Amino acid sequence: MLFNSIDFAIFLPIVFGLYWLANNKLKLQNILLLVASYFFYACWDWRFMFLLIFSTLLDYFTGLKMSDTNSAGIKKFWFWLSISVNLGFLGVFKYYNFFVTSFADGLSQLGLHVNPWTIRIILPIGISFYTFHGLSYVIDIYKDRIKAEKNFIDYALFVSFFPLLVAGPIERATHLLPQIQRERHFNYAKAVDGLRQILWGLFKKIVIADNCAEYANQIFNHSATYSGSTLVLGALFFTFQIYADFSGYSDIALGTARLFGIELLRNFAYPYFSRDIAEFWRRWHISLSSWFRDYLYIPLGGSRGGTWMKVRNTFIIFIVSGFWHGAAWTFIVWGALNAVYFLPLLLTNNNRNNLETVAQGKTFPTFREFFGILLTFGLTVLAWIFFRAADIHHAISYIAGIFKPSLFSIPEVKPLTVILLVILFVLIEWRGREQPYAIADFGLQWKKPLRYALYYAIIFAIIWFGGKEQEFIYFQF
Amino acid sequence: MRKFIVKIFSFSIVPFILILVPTLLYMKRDVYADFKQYNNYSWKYSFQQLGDLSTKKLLKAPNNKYNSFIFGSSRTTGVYACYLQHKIPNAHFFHYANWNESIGGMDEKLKLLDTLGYNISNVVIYLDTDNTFENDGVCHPSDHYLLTQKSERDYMLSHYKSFFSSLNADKIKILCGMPVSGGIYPNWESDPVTNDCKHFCTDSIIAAYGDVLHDEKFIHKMDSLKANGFLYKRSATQQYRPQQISAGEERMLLNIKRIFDKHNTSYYIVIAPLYDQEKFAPADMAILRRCFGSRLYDFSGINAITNNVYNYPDRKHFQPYISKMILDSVITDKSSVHVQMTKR
Repeated sequence: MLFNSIDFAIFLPIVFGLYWLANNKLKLQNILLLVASYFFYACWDWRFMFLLIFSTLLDYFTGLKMSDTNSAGIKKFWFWLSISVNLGFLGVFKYYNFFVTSFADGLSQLGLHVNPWTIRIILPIGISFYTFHGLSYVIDIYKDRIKAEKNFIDYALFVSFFPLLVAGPIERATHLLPQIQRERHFNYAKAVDGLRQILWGLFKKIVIADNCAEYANQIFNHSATYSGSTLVLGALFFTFQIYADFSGYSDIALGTARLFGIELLRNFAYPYFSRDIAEFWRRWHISLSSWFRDYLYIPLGGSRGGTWMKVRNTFIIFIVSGFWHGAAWTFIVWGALNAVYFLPLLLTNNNRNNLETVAQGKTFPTFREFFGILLTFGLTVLAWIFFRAADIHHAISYIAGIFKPSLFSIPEVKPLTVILLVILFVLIEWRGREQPYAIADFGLQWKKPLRYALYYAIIFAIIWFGGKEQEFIYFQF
Repeated sequence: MRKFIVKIFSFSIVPFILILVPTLLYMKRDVYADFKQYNNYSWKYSFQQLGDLSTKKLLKAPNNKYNSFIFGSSRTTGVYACYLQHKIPNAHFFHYANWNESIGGMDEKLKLLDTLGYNISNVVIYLDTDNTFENDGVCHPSDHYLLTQKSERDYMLSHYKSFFSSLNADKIKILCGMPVSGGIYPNWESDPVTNDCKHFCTDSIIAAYGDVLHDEKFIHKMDSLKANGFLYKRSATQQYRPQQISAGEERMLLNIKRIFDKHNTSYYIVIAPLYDQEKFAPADMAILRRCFGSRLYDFSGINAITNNVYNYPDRKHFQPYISKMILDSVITDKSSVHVQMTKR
C-alpha cells in the first residue's frame, strides 16, 4: 500500500477513526495500531509478514534473555545470536547474490570460471529498516542503555508502526517506546499540523519526484544518445527526484504518526542548502546517519584516534552506508566518494563549522554561504550519478558524456513546466528552511479563505501536475 | 476531536465538489468504455488503448462469431481482414488491432480466446524486429484486465487516474461533451465486424487494396522527407539486431505454438518488412524457426520491398498494398516474392 494511493486514502481515515474512538484505552489503541500495521505490510506480500513477525519475536525474546541474566557470557550469547540472525536475513535476502556473483567475477579475473549459484528471491520490503530497528534495540540492551521491553504488543508496535515500517525514519527504542507506553490524547493543533505535513509530502512525491523521475529515467536510460547539457539536466532531475521522493515519504510518515499523537524522528533538514558535505550529512537521512554514527562510527573509535584511524573509520561508515542502500558497486562507490568529500573537512577540523541553519533570520545568504551551497550541491549531484547509474561503467560513461563540447549546447530535453515546478519548490523550501518542514508556518497568519486557497492550490497542483505514479525509491532499500 | 472533524468537512466541501462533478462527467462520457457496452467502439481519443478497445469489442461478440484472427502492432493496419475472408473459405476474421503489440500481448490474447472457447482456425501474426520482443514480452500495462491479470478495480482506477493526472484542454472539452481538436486516429474508423482499422470493409475498399497509389503529391512528399533526412539512408550491408528474445519470451512463443497445435490452426507468422532493413539476430531466428518452422515468413532486411522508399508513408509503417502482396505470397506459399526474401 503506497502512501500516495487510493488504498491508503481509505485505510488511514478508518484507522484514525477507530483509534480515537478508543480514546483513553491505551492497550486497545496499541493493539489496533499493531493490527493495522501488519495489515498495511501484508498488502505488499503477506508471506513476508512472517519474516517480520519472526524478526520481532527474536529481538523481543533475546532482549528479555539479556535483561534476565547476570552472566556476561550468556548475555553475550543472546546478543550475538540476535545480531547474527538479523544480519543473516539481511545478508541472504539483500546481499547474497551480490557476494556470489562478485566472488565469481573475481575468480574469472584469475582465469577460474565458476557458475555462481544465485537465488531468485524478492527483497522483503522494509527489511533494512525494521532490521535496524531491532538491532539498535538489542545493542542498547546489551550496552545497558535501556531495559528490555516486557510488553510484546508495545515492542512489536515499536518495530512495525506502519508510518515508518517500510522506509523509516529508523527509530530508537529510547525515543519511540516511551511514546507508545504513554497515554495519548487527541491534540487538535498537532493533528492539523500532521495533515499539513502529509499534504506537503504528497506534493513533493507526486508533483516534484514523479515528474523529475520521468525525465531522469529517460535521460539515464538513453544517456549515450544525449548531449552533455542534457546529461547535466538528467543528473539534476535525479538529484531533485531522490530528495523529493524520500523526504516526501518522510513528511507523510511524520505527519501520519502525528495524527496518532506520536512524534517520529526528523529525517531531512533541507540538505541541499548545506554549506559543506559534513553539514549535508547532518541533514540528509538523519535517522540513518545518526544510527551509523552511534552504532558503528563511535564504537570503531570515531574521530578520537590518529589520522589513520579517522580515515579508516570515515571510509568504513560511508562505504557501509552506501552498501546499506543496495547490493551493487555503484552504491559502494557513491559511499566512498562521499568519504573522499568528507575527509578534508574532518582532517582539518572543519567538519562542525556549519551547525546552524544557513542565513538564519535573513532572506538571502552571504556570497560565501551561497558559494558553499553551490559547491556542495555540485559535489552531491556528481555523487548521485553513481547512485542512479545501472553500473560503474554506465556512471563513468555518463560523466564522460557531460564533459564534451555539447555541454554548452541547448539540451534536447526541455520540460519547462517541470523546471519551473522545481524552481518553485526550491524557493518554498528556502523560505521555510528554519521550520520542521517547508510549509509548517506558511500562511498560518493569513485569513482562512486565503489559507484554504493555498492548500487547495497544492491539492490542485498534485492532481494537475501529478506525474506518472512511481514507487518510492527507498522502498527498494 | 469534533472541531477537527468539522474542520475536515468544511475544508473538504470545495475539493469534494470539484472532484465529484468531473468524476460524474467522466462516468457519463465513459471515454474508456469502462461503464457501458457499445455497438461502436470507434472513438477518436488518442489516449485510448487500441488493444483494450479491441478486447472489449471481442468480448461483446458471441464466441462463434469469429474463427480467424490477426495479431500484431500498428503494422497490421494494412492487413485487411475483409480481404482475407475472401481468400480463405469459411474464415470469419477478427482483427485484434493494437499499438506496439508485444509477444506477451499476443500470447495473452490467444490464451483468452482459448479460454473463451473460440475455435481458432486461421491466424496471421506480424512480428516486428524493433518492438515485438521488448521488456521481456510483458503485455502492455494498459491492455484489458483479463490480459494483464490486474483486478477490474485497478484497471478502471488506472484509466481514471491517467485521465485526470494529465488533464489538458482537450480532456476538459471531452468532459463537457464538446468535440476535440487535433488529429484523427485509426481507431476512429474501425470496421464494426472485422475491427479493421482506418477503413470500413466495403467491396470498393477490397477492390482497391492492391492499388499502388504513388501520385505526384505523394512522390513530392516522400522526396522532401528523403531530402531533409527524415527517411534516412540505410546501410548497404545487411544489419542485424542484437539478440532480443529472452527465455520468458521463448516460453511465450512455445505457448502460442501449443495453442495452434491444440486448435489445428493454419497460421502465418510474418516478419514485417520495416524501413530500417534490420533482421533478427541469427540466434533469435533460430528460436523462431524452431517454434514455427516453415510457417515463418521473413520479409525483413534488404530486399525489393524495403529498398523502395515509396513503400513507406513514414519510417515506422508500410503501405497497405505491401501487406496484400505479403498475404498473397504466404497464403498460397508459392510467391516469388517470398522465395526471393527468404533466400537472403
